[in-house]
Amino acid sequence: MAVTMQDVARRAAVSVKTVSRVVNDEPHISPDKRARVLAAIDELSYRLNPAARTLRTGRSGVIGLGLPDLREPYYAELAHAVLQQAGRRGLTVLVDPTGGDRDRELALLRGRGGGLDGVLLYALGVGAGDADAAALPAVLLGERVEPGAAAAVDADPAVAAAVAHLVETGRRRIAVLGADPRPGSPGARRTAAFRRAACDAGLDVDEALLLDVGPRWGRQAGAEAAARLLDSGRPVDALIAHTDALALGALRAALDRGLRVPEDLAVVGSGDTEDARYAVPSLTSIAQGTSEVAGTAVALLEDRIEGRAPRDDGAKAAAAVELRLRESTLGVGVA
Amino acid sequence: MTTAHARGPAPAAADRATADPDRPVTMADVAAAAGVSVKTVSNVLAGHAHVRPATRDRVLAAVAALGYRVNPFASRLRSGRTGVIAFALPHLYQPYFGDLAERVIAEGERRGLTVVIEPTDAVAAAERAVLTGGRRQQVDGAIVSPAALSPAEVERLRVEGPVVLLGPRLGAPPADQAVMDDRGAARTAVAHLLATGRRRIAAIGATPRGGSAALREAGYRDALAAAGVPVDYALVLDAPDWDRRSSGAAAAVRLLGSGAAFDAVFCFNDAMAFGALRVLASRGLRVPDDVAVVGFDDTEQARFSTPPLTSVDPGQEQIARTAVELLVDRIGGYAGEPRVVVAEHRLAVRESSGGPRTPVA
Repeated sequence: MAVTMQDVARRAAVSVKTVSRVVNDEPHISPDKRARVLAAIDELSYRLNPAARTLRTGRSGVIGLGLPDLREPYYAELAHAVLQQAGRRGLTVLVDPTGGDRDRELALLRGRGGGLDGVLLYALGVGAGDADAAALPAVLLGERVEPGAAAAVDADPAVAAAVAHLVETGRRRIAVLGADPRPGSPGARRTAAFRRAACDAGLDVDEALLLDVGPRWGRQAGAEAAARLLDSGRPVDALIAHTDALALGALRAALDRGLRVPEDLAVVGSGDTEDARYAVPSLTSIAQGTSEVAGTAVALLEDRIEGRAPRDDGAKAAAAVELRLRESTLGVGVA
Repeated sequence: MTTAHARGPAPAAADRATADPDRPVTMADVAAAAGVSVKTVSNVLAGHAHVRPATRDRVLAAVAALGYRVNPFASRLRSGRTGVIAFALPHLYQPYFGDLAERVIAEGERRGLTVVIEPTDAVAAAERAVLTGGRRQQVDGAIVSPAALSPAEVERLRVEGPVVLLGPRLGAPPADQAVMDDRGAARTAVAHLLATGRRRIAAIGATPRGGSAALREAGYRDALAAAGVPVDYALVLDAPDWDRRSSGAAAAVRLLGSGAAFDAVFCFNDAMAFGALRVLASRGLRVPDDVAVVGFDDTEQARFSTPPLTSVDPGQEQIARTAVELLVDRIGGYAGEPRVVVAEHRLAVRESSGGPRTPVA
């Protein structure tokens, strides 16, 4: 529930009018009352309703974009795609790194310090319900979103394609990097898709091969998880990582151990980033329609900022995903 | 302006979890934990100079321990500030800037400041807007790494509001600068290749635009001259788009196609080095046996490439810390002449130039 001016008034034991006068920086308020109001605002994390302020001051032409991790090549490329789309519409983008933390995501949805016309959020912590509580026009993007409420990526078919491709090339013991126990999280969804695909392909899923790597899906996390797995001696002949960064980390850990990729271990990433294309061996990866996601998200947000009725193609905003085959599964020199 | 006395004594930090775990951390909590007044906490976070270093450290430690974050709205009401600073950079997909952004964010967090990133896409109008106060509604100040504006254009700008500039060192900077020693760091990288017996060293990343490229090329020539090795311009390759691996790959293809003999490649950044490594692997050349490769930036990916990449760290950590410090001073009202801080560089030697194995896990 959003904190209101009434809540601030109650906490500070003053009238709503007094809160309003402090907020609008009007004169003739006793220093004591002013201090009490400011303390209450601080305590309750109260924010001025930016929509109301927009009426008075007009728009800033600036939108916020919340992303979990700037070192992760997929998010960096997504930011670039959003920037290009926004630039065409004369909008400036300020990127807010959230670390996937729910509080920081909520702070952005509430407008942070102000001056934003709207917010795009690649959500890991909050869900579609929270977006309705946003204090300014907002669009969620990514996987942890409901169709119609956001620019969604449905990676399930590509995860299935990756499993089918690995089975076709003779793999039986497939590990997953990024299995996440939090229900509804991208990791949990993708891992569920993996289970279904593995089942369809007649594989027994070994739970010990489904690895939770923690909240940040970067290179180091991928390397550490893969190292633990490879050092455990448990047989494994392929690995599907939920980001390219995790896959690059796993690739390094495998090569450090003298394994050949893909002969001893096939590796699949996700995001189809520049890092994947230029890796040695080049990395088979799931392309997630980055520019389509960005285009849809910016268009939806613009509708909301302008107060237009939401387009009825919201549910169709799911981007095309596709498995790009390269050396890390096919063999060096093949692709 | 203080907040604590209006509602009685602040609870001790240790009581917070038992009292109400959902209540946001306030400045009063930080003051109580650090054993100082709210006014002192406010002074530290605003970057006022007259706080004793020991007190400042205690406050910053309490900020970190409690996870305190400035309430941007309350802060703006009190001081006209947002508690938010911007870092304007050309592209997040260029690994150097992704890494540096994470460091600036961490440094801001240590001081209770929120950092937002403005990717300018190397568009001059966007860079000019940030430098001339165009984001004042959203942020208190900006750290800016210009890419489209030339050094001469930046020097001529009338900078508005608190700004710290990164990028190549300027002769007459219009604002504070946290810079790297481009020339010295490049010299160190090339001297390392010469010391390991390489003599035909190619350079990838020259551009006619000046700035960092010209300085790094000068450092390359310095090192060759010091070793008595003549510069062969057939080995100096242009790569106008530094931000793409494809640029380094294309230059490597040109180099191989030219038929010029070479036993090492110095790339003016890691992004281009990854592109060059990819091409060398495709052509069946062994790194480092046939060709040694050295990058510049020491990005995270350098530890993960095949083989792991030797790279010169221009002092990322120090640049991030210094930039935030200088900016906080300016936001706090410091109005002195522009200051310049040059970071110290360090070479990270890995397998791509014959260094030891460096397992990542």
